Amino acid sequence: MAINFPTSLDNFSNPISGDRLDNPSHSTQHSDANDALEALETKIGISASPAGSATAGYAFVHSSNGTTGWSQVGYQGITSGTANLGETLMANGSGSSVWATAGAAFKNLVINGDMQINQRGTSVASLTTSDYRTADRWYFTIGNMGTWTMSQENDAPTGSGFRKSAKVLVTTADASPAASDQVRFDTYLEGQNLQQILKGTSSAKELTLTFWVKSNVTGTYIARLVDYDNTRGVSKTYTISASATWEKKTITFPADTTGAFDNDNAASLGLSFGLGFGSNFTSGVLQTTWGAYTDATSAAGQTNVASAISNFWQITGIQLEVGSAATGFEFLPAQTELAQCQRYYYRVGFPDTSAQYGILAMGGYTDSTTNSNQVFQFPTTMRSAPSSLTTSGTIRILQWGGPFTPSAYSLNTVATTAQNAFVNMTSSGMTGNSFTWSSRNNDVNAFIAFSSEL
Amino acid sequence: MYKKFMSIDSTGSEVENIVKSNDDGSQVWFPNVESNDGPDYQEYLKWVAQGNVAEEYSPN
Repeated sequence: MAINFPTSLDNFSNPISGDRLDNPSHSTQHSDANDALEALETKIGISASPAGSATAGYAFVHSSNGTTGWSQVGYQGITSGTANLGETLMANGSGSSVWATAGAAFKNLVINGDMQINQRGTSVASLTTSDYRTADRWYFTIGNMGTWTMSQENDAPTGSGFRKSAKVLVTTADASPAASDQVRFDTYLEGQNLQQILKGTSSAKELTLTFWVKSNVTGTYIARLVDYDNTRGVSKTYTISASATWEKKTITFPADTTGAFDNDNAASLGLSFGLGFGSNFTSGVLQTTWGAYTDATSAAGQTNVASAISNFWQITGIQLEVGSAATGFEFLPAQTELAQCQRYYYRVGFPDTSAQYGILAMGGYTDSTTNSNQVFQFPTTMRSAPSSLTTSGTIRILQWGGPFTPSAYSLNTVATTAQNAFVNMTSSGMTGNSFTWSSRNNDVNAFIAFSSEL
Repeated sequence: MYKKFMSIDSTGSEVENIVKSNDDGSQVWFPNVESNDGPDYQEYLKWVAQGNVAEEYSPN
């Protein structure tokens, strides 16, 4: 009788004591057993080397040369950790595997980490005060510590996929900062976008920060998280080892079971990269686990980039994600990343230089000969009603008998929302109670911008 | 650096505004109200806390 395997499983009859040798047939019993063994050998395959034995986490696999053996499949490099709900094993790009959420959309909590979006232009010099400069969402804090140029550079680590970086350059040094002096590179995140961290609960999760950095000043640097809702902080160090060379850094911040983030649109978490600090920020022992925030323990050991003219610090590829795994950077389409940035800052006009008379506000009306109310519709809902507007270049109010030059602008606070702005433009000689709009006045560099930055 | 001027909102109420002139020629305009939580207003408050007083700005 022929066996069924591998088409289907067999069900052999076992002889029992007292059976005759021909019922069941002795030769058929041997033939079936031999056929089954040979079929199993064929199924399992051969091995060029001893196949070894299975241990935990191993599977029996066919190799590419037709042999078989026990091997770790997708388990390479795992030394600890367990999978959370929804996580799968994936390569981390460094030759090992990690548990992480595969294909998680918008896993990067940071906006514009690749420094692609710069609505404010590519370079600003002679900086001595704090503000958002060049790269969207990145606030350059300068507290009485040197003079700087900030720029968006067409320079990024080769083969990384990044094409832009943010650079800060010292043009006036401060080698001996006063106690309260500081210089940092910051971003601030809304609490409602951080709820998945489960901060302030027993299930709070770690955060992992990855970035590429380059500086001519080697040494110890600080990356810091500050919880503004509960005044808590944690700081970690990283080292720049080689001068003026792109280096990839990964830092995992511990989970914090104390202090939940508010579920609103205000700043709950700040991420800061230290560049230099006075003794008020360095006199304590660096706080490497979450605790009550104090200046003295926030930046101990930080190298002073401001110590000499021409020193620089450059960064790109910043990703802050939930969990202890550093996964690949989440590259977003340009239109998506721009929309993310326009939630906080929206500029009409420059750096779009395509039309010297480009429209700014598409409509409005005059309620007197000196006031034109103009409406600006935002392309995406902003974080909140804008808190300020910025104007630059030559702008004109258009009306029959015009144009007219505005001499002052004010946000009409009872009519401006997160969806659109109602701006009072002051001029003179206009016709009251009639339609107006505004445009650039033969100036491709002119713009009006709205800010609801954190 | 900072100057102040008045405007009238849609309810007819007067609102004080602040204008900051930047070195690059741009100007930042924002209402001087406590509900303003923007970084421009916060920087202005720090400037005021240092004993500075905004001058009057005359638009016309």
